[in-house]
Amino acid sequence: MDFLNEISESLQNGLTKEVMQLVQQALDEGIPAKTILDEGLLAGMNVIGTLFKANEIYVPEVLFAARAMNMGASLLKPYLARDGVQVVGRVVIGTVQGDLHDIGKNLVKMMLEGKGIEVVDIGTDAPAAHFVQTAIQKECDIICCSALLTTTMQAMADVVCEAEKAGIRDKVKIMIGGAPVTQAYCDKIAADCYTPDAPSAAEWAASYLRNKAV
Amino acid sequence: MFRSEKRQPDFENLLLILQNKPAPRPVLFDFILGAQKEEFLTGDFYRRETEEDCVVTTLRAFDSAGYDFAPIVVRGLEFVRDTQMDGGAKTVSINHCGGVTDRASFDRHVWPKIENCDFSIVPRVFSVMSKGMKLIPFSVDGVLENSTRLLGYENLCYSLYDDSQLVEDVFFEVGRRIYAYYEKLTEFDEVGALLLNDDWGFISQTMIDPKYLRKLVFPWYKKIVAIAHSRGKAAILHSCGYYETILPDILEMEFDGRHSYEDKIVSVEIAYEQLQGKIAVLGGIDVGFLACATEDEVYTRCRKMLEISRDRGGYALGSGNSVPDYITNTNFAAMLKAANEKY
Repeated sequence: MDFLNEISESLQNGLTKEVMQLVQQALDEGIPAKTILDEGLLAGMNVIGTLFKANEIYVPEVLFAARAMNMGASLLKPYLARDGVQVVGRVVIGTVQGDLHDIGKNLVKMMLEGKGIEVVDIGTDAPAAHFVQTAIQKECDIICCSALLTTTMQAMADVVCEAEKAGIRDKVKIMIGGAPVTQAYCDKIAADCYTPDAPSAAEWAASYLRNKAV
Repeated sequence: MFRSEKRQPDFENLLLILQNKPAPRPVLFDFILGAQKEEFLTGDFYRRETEEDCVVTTLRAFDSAGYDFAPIVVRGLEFVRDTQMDGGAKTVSINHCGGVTDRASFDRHVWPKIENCDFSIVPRVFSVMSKGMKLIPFSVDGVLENSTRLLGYENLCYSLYDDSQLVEDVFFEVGRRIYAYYEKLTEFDEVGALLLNDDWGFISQTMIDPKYLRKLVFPWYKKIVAIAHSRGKAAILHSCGYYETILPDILEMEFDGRHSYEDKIVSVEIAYEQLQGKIAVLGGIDVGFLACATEDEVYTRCRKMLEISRDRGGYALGSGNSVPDYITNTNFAAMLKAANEKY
């Protein structure tokens, strides 16, 4: 139990080396990889998400913690595969066509991963068809669209249309976010969810995937 | 001319606003107008063939619209070349690294020289504007923006912990050049105020922990504001994003006015109630609102804001950020009309 708390606390402090050492020690002690993931790494990222949402920490601290989490998770990967542990769900994320901004997208990606969700990142300036084709090919549960500009957020409506055209609209949820995006815009284009910040996006996605699994 | 002949520019009106006082008529404040907006305002005088054409066109556009000043940037102090723009992109990501990733690239980096700035453009173009107007110079991005773009945002975030000395050195090299740029501009009589433009936040936070802003960024602005005031110029902050946690710092730096408000962060109506009497509130009509509202809605909100602030002063009407070309000329004109009418 101490290992798990120490992993969580070291992750919150962005101490990558310490996290890796502790994860390895926990594995050596015979603690199941899934337990280390859930009660060590993801528990630490949960605290990070809460602190970030409350403006008690800032983006650099989130990046630092996420780096520690990813390094720790890389050690767990073969054990999780061996034990047949399934991911919570899969999300395709990208910044919509015409928009090169990636900071918000990357933050949401980190927060989603911090909830144990697998993320397929298709980068920036992504055409609507790319979101939908990736969702089909990778069997994603959720499409996450990011935009920073009033002009480019219009491309989010194209993603919704493209999903309808491809016949997957009832199989995927479409989440949207970014500086100019509002709940009213989400309603207007018939997307499924708008959240004002990265932690809220991850919380919504995790909640949806939990309920879907039941 | 968009404005009537009766409305004569007078920089003193903007100065009254910057002193948190009322002005005898509504005052306008904006920072950047889109090219189509400048064409709308200048008509046959619209030129963009040379760099100086662009400057002159901007001056004429602000004059035509009814502003008491025009913004100007003196080229030559560009810290980062936008390679993304070279590829035809309309925007750039601040994550796109400008070439300083580590100590070795810092040592190799070629910094812009203040000597490359042709400050003679200031008196040269001044006569284009109507009598009574003054120039308000700004820089090609600020201390945080340029440092961030040199390092790349995520690299900056990691470097704050991995190589804090590199971060300090980058901010120092940027800061001292921007200080020298503004110091030079305070020597000109044609300059009425400085516009210090540096985006410090996004919707819900500052870009980095305020403790780093206090260490790396704010000392430069405190120095620039001080030199401006010592030479009789006002100092205006243009800084996008969340600012609540750093508001005491902004006030402590003694800026005369603050520009950039977004409804998603805090509407200009609320900001005015919070800041009135402490620092002038400039612009503030949300860009998204200007883009999506009807002409009547724009006019009504603008007039209401002017009425709210008429007696207490300290407010100039304008966009929350800039006036990009996706705002229709009709809505832009509705905002200008609101300020061009009497109280």
